Amino acid sequence: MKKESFFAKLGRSFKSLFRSSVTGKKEINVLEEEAIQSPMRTIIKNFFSNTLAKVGLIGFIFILLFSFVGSLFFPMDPLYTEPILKNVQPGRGYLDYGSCDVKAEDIKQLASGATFSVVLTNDGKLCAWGQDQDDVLEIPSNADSGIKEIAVGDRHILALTNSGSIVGWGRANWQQQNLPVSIKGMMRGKVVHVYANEEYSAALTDQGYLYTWGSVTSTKLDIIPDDYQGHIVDADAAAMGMILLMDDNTVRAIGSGGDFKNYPEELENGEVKVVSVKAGKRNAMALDDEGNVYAWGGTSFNLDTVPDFGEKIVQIDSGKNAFFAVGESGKIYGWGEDAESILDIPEDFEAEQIFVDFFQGYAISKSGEMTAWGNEGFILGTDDQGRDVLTRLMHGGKITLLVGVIAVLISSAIGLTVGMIAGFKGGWIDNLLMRIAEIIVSIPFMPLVITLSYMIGSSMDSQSKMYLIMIILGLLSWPGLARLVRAQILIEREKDFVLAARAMGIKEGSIIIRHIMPNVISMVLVDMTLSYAVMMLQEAALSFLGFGVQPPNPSWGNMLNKAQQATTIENYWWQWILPAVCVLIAALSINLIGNALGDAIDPKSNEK
Amino acid sequence: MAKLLEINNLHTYFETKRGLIKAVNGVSLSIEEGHTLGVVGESGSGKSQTAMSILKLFEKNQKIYDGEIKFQGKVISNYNAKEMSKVRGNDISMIFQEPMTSLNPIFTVNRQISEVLMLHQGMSKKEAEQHSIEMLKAVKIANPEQVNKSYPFQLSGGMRQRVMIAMALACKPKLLIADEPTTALDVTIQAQILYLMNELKREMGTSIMFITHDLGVINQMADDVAVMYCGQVVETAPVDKIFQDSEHIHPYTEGLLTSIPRLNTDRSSKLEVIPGAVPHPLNLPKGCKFAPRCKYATAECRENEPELKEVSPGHAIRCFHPVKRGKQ
Repeated sequence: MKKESFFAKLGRSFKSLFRSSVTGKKEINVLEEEAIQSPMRTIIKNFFSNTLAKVGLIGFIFILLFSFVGSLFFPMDPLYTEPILKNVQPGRGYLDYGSCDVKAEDIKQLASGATFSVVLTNDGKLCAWGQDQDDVLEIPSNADSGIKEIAVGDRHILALTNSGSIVGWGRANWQQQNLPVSIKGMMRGKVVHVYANEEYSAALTDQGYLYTWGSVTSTKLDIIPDDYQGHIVDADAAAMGMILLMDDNTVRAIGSGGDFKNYPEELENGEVKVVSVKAGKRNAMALDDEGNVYAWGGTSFNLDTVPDFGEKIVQIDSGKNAFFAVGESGKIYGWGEDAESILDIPEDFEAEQIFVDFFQGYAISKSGEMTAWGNEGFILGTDDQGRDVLTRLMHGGKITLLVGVIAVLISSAIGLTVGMIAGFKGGWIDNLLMRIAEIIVSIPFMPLVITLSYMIGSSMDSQSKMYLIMIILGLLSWPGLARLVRAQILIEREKDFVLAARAMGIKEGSIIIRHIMPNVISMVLVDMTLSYAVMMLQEAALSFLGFGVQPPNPSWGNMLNKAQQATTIENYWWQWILPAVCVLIAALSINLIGNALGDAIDPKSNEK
Repeated sequence: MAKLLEINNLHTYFETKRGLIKAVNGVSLSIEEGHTLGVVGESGSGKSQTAMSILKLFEKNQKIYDGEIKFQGKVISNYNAKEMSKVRGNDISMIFQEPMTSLNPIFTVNRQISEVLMLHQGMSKKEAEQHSIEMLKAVKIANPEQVNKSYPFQLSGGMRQRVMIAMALACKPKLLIADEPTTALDVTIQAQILYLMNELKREMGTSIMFITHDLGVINQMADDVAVMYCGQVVETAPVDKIFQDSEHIHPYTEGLLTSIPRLNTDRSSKLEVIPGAVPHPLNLPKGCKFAPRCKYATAECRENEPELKEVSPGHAIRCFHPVKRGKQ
């Protein structure tokens, strides 16, 4: 027999799910006795013979898997933000160097921005890949060839031509891609190196003078001490500062990254000969001529602690908050913050050279192979804080679904208890409970929830506020179920089988729990399912208005909160359409399940 | 023969906003061991409420105001709920008029019979299931194993009433109260059920209190008869006396008997009926309760209430002027 592939099987069973309702009505022989079926099995059978129910179930299972299983595979730190990755369009292929037909041995320089990378070949040509933000992938015609060096900021690229002129393109909010005429006019010497980072650029001349432009005033990068100028031979640009290599092989720093300036004394006084400097957001490091690495700056992510390599280091490079070093053996070492998989360095790769910027790392081996690691991209883009929308959708779904479940459990517990007491006890207790229910129903729901959430919740952290929302929703939505249960109990308790059970000596408590409740519970289940969808939408509505689950904890509602801004609606569709679609699928499938369950339980629907 | 159940001067009232409803208003009757007592009367005559009073299956606003009920020599009318639940289903059990709704729709027959057995006889689940099948056999169900696993909706009315009887007799009670058990069934099924009950009575020695409004059924089933009207027993006698050989008879019983259609009556003549209706329980007449509808009533009847008097051994009538038989 031919072996069936897994997918073929899957597809077949998926099809058969739907087919049974159309053609699957089994002919029952008149003489053949119908198999005895428990009511539960009848309900299940009825439920599954309903196509809409199956659609709903599949939708709901999909949402459940997406939220609960997906969030296991995509862990999220709610406090993590990455400004340079904000509002990135959906797309992958940030590491897709294969799209440029470049051989490893031809690579002269490779640099990455926030969402893209550019390669400069030995014959002076450029090629770029990744996410095309701000037209950064569209290399202008005057940078087509004859390029000597490139520098890449978060969203712009500078190219230094053989003739010494600078061509820039990409994001231009600070004119960082464009060498200002004022600097050009006073420049001493010919430009030999260009540098760039978040929204600024810099150029170094053959006379050792450094010039910076773009967004440099807030980071004090425009202030370069006079005694540095004329002695600078190399530099590295980071978000808030630049680290400089001087002509006497010592190190200096400029910019507002205060931690930068605490470099070890031996690097400043010339005790060791520094050959290379690299900088991250708050940290910097240097490599001396003996292959030792020095790191200093902020203490976060242990970036200031150099690991024990046990070998000489030949090259260093830095990402945003991660440092990398290549040993003599070709092993790549990395330490720092493992954001966007930047520390997932390929093992057993004998690197000759590495190129790391922001969240992309590339390595070339001695034998001419090439590899890449780091951020591959965002399938569903990022939000205004640079957080992956897919991950937040998963975790937000978890919270939204959980808030709904707990709110429903609370409201059902109260509704069931109140309904039972009112139904069984009757008299003034019944009267009192039903009047309370009426009072609660008559209060306008949203304004009350908003007021409560604001008054009680203003002093709470976002985690406890989440629980507060669950409890408030639960406490205010029980009357419907309470009425339903009460009415149903009033009907059931007058039925003959209750009298018969009493006549058989079965105790009152046992009659209530074992004889009446099972007759009521099916309705409760249907009501719970349907009100679950309502609760979920309530949570989304509250969070949309900013009174529900508070950021940084995601929920579908507060992700939709962004849609209150016109710019988001206009420019960043993935930030609001996706959570809206999730809410839609979840609410729709739960409602379909609830309705189908109601139909399945109602015996009259069998006769259709 | 020993008296199994004795009811003396029982008064069971409902308290309503408009006043006391005297549903059972001084009922006295007794059932002998192994006998069937037929209780007959119109709707609202208090037959069912008398039965409910025995098991104290009361509404919230209902209670025994006076009188006592003795079962096997013990006064059970002042039992509390806990003591009473030991009597119910175990010593005295009851079956009802509506077999279609007397079984819980969501449980199997097995579970419902087993529950009673496990509760009163302390049987294990397995034993109870075995016994449940035996009981279904005893009530002449053809495929007891199958029915035992069934849900009520899969059974016909007659089958359900058999299941009810099986359940009621599962603990071998001394007394079975049957409250119009065949009213909702068609005649052939009714005959089968009555036959079955008689047979079971003979086999198990169970006494039966058979409530009905059908004198034909009484004739077939009962050893003794109690005729009830307005919450009182108006006549009690062995069944033969009522139907054949007593000298005197209560005018109400006479009315009931003459309103049975017979095969040998003249087709052109009208069926005799008792004129009027049962008085409203809140507005009972002074004197004899039947006086307003009685064709023999005198001024005395409208003024004073007659007592239940023995007219011959075992035959008591609540009437000042019992009708002589044959007068009709």
